[in-house]
Amino acid sequence: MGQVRWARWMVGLAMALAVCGVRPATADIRSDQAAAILEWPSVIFIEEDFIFQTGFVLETLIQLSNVSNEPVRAWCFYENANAHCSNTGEVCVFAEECCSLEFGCGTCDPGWNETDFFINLTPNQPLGWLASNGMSGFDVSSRPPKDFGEFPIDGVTNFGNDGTSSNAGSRIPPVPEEPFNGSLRCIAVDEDGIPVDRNVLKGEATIIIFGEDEGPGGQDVLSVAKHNAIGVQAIEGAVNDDKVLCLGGEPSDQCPDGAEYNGCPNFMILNHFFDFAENPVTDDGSFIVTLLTLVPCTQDFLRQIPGETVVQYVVYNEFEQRVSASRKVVCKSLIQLSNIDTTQNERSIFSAGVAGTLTGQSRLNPLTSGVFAVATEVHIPAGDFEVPPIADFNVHYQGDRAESDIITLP
Amino acid sequence: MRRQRGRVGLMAAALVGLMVGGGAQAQVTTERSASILVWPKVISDGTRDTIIQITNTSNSMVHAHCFYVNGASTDPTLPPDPDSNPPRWVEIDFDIMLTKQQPTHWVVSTGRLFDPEAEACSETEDFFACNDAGLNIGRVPPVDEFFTGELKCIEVDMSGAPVSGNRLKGEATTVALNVCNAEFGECQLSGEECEDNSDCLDTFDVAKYNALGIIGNENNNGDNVLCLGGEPSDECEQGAEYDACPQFWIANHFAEGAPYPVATDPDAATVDTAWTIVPCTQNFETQVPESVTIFIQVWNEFEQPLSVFANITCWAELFLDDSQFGTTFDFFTLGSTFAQSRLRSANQTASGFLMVGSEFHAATDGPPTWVSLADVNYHVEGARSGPDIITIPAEQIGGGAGPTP
Repeated sequence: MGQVRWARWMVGLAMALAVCGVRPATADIRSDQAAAILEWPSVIFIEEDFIFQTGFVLETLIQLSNVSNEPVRAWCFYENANAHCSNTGEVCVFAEECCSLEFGCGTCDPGWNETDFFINLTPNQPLGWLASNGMSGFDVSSRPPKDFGEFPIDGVTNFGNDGTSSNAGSRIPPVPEEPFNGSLRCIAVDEDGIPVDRNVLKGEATIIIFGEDEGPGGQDVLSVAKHNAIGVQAIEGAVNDDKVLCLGGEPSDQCPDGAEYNGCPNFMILNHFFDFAENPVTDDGSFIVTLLTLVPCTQDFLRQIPGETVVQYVVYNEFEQRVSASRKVVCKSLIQLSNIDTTQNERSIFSAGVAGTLTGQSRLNPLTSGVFAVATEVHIPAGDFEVPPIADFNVHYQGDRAESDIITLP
Repeated sequence: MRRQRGRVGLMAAALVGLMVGGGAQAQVTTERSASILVWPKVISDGTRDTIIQITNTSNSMVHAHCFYVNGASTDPTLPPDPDSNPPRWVEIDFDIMLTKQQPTHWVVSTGRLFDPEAEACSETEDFFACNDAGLNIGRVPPVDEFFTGELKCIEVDMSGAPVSGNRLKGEATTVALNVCNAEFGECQLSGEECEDNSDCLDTFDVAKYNALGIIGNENNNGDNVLCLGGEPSDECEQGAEYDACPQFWIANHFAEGAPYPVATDPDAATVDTAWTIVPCTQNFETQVPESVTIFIQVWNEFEQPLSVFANITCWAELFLDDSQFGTTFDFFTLGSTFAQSRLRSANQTASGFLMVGSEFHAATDGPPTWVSLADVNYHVEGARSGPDIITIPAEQIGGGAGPTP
């Protein structure tokens, strides 16, 4: 029963999530300091009944705050990585989902499009919203306590401490589709939407699985995981007023002034359990698999061209034995480790049975574009269970890429 | 003897300096390899256990000298009390070594006692139970039966002298077990009534955070007094040997008792936040625990600030609904679901501090209650001006740093 359960959850998560497949030399991206560009690689929303008609909702709670004593404006982009059926337009993962009596069989085509919006943050202000609902309007009382999902400072009846700043002009739309698998990127800009070199944004994402179990008691159960948004710091004085943002690299045709922001990392280092490793604490047959989310640093929001790259994985086990694999990433990849090199998990170099030890170190080297990464551990209990325990964590970084990664704004 | 060790340390530091290159970044990091790793929250108390992961990210062998510091009460079954039930502040230490790029792990309740007969994981084994498979890293002792404290690993060379190789990274996975809490007669996670563990649903929960890394720089003289930040002084003749502890920690968190945003019923669940904090300065020679007074400024979504202080000694897991904070973090005090807290050492406080956060989400649709937890690394800002000092007993870094036999 437990086996069937974990398989259901993994397939469900894969279906829902894995669509679409100046010291500039030493300073690169960070998830533990405020920055001018923030990336949340994993923004997911799945309504009740989608995961095998269970009553669980999978939701992402986004937190964003201004850590400075000055107001700041953020220009944010939801990147929708859902694939769609060519015949019906429905969200799909596998081609067989695109077959129906009415429309015949279509193909499941990868997609990528963005939705953008602005948020005005007053000094030191923290905000939070659900991916499914966004944030709009103002609390009518304009006084605490504030209703969730509404902005607190309207700029008419109340203002920030400086007497002028407010959230006026802000509106965060809900994610454009349900189910939604995508990412969010926010960039510090001035009042005219021109990028600025202010490293004052910090953010987090909390993945929440919440719902009523199927038992006779109908008890609410939940599982949560949390990670930091990944920050790209602006180089002081280097950000020009165009809409081509250059992350790292030397001067080039596209980046005549060279790097405006720190470069994306040359290597990402992921410490992980090999898939199907037995949990050494419970020691009861429960096991662990890891999901890896990757989003290319380069994105062209103007021409709606998603970034793509090839990532090389060099994997070391606890015997210091090394194996490697490579896989392409287009727009976003959320994949179980043991599916990176094969569809047959038990034969993967990321499987504990093949690797020979419980834990490993994987060094990820993106080739044609840098990538942002975050990992999710899914622990599968041995017995019957309703919702699997999950834990997110940020990966480590080493070096920065020699070439620029470029974000092109509309 | 000490001078000789210093010379060896200087030579090692010079060699490492050549390897490391570049200047020192003045900040604690949770995503870069470092020379000192700190896991502030390591718990093994029967309801929670912790899996430690540590990795050598370089192509040369690395040695590390590690300390467990137990902050549990003398009698963990009774409420803590400074007079009648003080914290233990007991440390134990051990050495490990990692070959190039080698990852390893252990469960703190059992340690990692080298088993030469441990077999590699095999596809024929159910779920690949092979906990001890891997190259010998040394002997990692198990912790006390009731352990709530920190783990600290310091990169050293073969002679045992601290070096600034910046080659270590680590993680901690907290596994919360659904055991029967005899005091309340209910299961720890699923909330059912229970008399013993057999009455509780066979489940558990997990949370994970990155170890906090302190980056070493070229000035490391390899002696037993480690200087984190600061200018040259009597204690730190070379000045900073490692990056400084942060001037500010920035924590985004829920207000206590805030309506749960995901459920239709805002009272269907709650979120409690806890901060686990350890001082940067530690004297393992005198075993005198360091105390830190922390100033906390809290901003709500209306940009309205409040402030409060906290005092910690050696190690503390502070829940934001603790009585020492009054109602500062309460939803009806703050008036918004989210808050941003900035924490710093109070003026005249000698030590900085390191911290990690935990969120406890609990479904509360009437008993039983279901709990899930998530750990999170917080942001840092700036660097402390004064040095924080870690003092290691001189004997512990002498005589080589091979794995503990």
